[in-house]
Amino acid sequence: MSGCGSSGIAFSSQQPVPGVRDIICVASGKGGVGKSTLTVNLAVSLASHGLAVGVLDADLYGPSVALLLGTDNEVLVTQEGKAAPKLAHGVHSLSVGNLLAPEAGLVWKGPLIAQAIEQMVYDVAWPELDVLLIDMPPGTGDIPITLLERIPVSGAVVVSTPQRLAAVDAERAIALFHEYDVPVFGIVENMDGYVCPCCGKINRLFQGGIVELMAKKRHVAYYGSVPLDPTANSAADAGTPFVVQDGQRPSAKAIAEVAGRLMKSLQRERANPKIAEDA
Amino acid sequence: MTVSTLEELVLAALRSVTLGQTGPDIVSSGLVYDVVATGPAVRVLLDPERIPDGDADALGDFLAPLVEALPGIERVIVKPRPKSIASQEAKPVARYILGVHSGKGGVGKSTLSANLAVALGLLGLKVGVLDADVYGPSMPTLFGLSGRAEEMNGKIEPRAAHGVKIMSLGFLLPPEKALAWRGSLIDEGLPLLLSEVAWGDLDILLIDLPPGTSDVHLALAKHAHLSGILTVTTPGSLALIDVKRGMEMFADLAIPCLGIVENMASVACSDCGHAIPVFGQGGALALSEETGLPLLASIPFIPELSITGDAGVPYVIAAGDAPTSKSITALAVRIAKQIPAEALP
Repeated sequence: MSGCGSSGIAFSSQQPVPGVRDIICVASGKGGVGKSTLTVNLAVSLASHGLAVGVLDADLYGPSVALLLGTDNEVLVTQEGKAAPKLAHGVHSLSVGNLLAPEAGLVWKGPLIAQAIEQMVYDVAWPELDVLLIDMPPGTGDIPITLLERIPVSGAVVVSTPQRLAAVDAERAIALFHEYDVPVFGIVENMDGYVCPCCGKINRLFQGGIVELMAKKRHVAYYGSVPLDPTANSAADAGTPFVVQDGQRPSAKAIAEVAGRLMKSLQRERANPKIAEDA
Repeated sequence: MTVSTLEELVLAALRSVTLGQTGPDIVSSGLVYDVVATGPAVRVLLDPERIPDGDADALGDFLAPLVEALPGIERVIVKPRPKSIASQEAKPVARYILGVHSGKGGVGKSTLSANLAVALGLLGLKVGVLDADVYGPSMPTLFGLSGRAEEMNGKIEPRAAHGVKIMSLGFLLPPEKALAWRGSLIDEGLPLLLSEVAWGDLDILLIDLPPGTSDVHLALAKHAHLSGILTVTTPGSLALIDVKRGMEMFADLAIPCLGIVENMASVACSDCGHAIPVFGQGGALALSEETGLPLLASIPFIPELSITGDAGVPYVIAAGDAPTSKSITALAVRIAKQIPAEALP
């Protein structure tokens, strides 16, 4: 059992995470494209398919997973001295937001980051998980590099809004994963349009098509487009993911589609173990 | 154990080294300027003025094995600190330096910065924009610029478009290159964008800060002589929590916040005209009430702001008479009042 995912490069310092089968990074390059909301909803959707799912909030600078899943900031410590993840909406999760008061000012200097990230992965009593989704911070700085160097990641999902500004940064994120030989399973377009709650018309927020084009250019699967859901936003901010609110709304259906594609990508990856045996 | 102990460990080891038989140790004498640990990689920065015979390589070859032998260290780099840091008392590059900040990414901070800069220029001011978003530099796209910045007389010439001088890492690096910048690199690289660029005589420099609270902000706070901060937020509560974090950080650094700009306030349905609070509502006003800082402007989400941005023609130029352009110009007028009357020393 390699237990080391299937990334081609095995860094000597990478330790398998006990009990966790596959680690998937959800990344965006640019901030504010709805990555955390998507991660949380994707997790809930995967769990509804019967998978054991965890979410780790690696966005140390702007942790939002605790808010989005409605978990509190009291973390219990197990007898082995590990932090017990929170359980909400069928998903196990841990976020810096569970460890600190929401307004606490956080300035993580580079050196502290490596340690914090490792602790959040290895010093947590994760139950047996099929998938651990890591909500990555935006950008390609210390946190993503540390993560990719030290943690065995099976693959990544990249999120972008249909704007050139966001797509350029998403390409950078893809390039970073490829540098570390982590396969990018798919790209999700987020916030392409929204449904007017008044007249039902679907309005565009940005120019469509850019994300799908970029996926083609980078030879990465296009996982689909998730519309913005203004009426679900306030409930989502209060800790009820929109897939939980109503599975039939367009945004929830789009997420279910992405979840299905991700599961297929994982099956394909497992059926094709590549050079992982040598690792 | 925290990594700061690693730095202390290195400093302690370096204190056992003296130059010559009786001289002071190399830490006390100031030869070792700083020790910075990034995980298990340690960088020993030397003061270039104090390196014996100016031979940094020889000193590095001598010191590196000493540090490498310490427990917990995987990589050691010994090098002189960059000249830009050596000149600690660098002059501010403009009469007023405004950091445009958001707690969270994607709130339209860069698009707003670009439009604000152009609006300030249209008021007759000499304006510069520094794109400090090292992980996702947006200014080249927003100003419709590609290619590289040229060097002239030993300094980098900023690019210019729509009446504004612009400098961005995007002009120094190939566009799709993953900007995998470690914290220590940021500390060294960012100040160069201030000191090594021929900004000329600027009335105001806008610095488009990366979102959040990170090394970049600390580095800029140290080197950029920030006069004030403008905080940009969307109305949703997720964004507001991050904004508060950022505000606290700058408060700790004694840099004042001028006020709050609410962006993406609402979207008008193109069919029925109904104003929809797509990104939440009321948050910026609540933040303003809580912090006592003025809400300087509230800018609606209009797709044209993003579309003109992607096309490289700022909205205030593409649609100067539109209500949103007028809001941005009004904001520019308020900010221009902050610029001190006296010229640079």
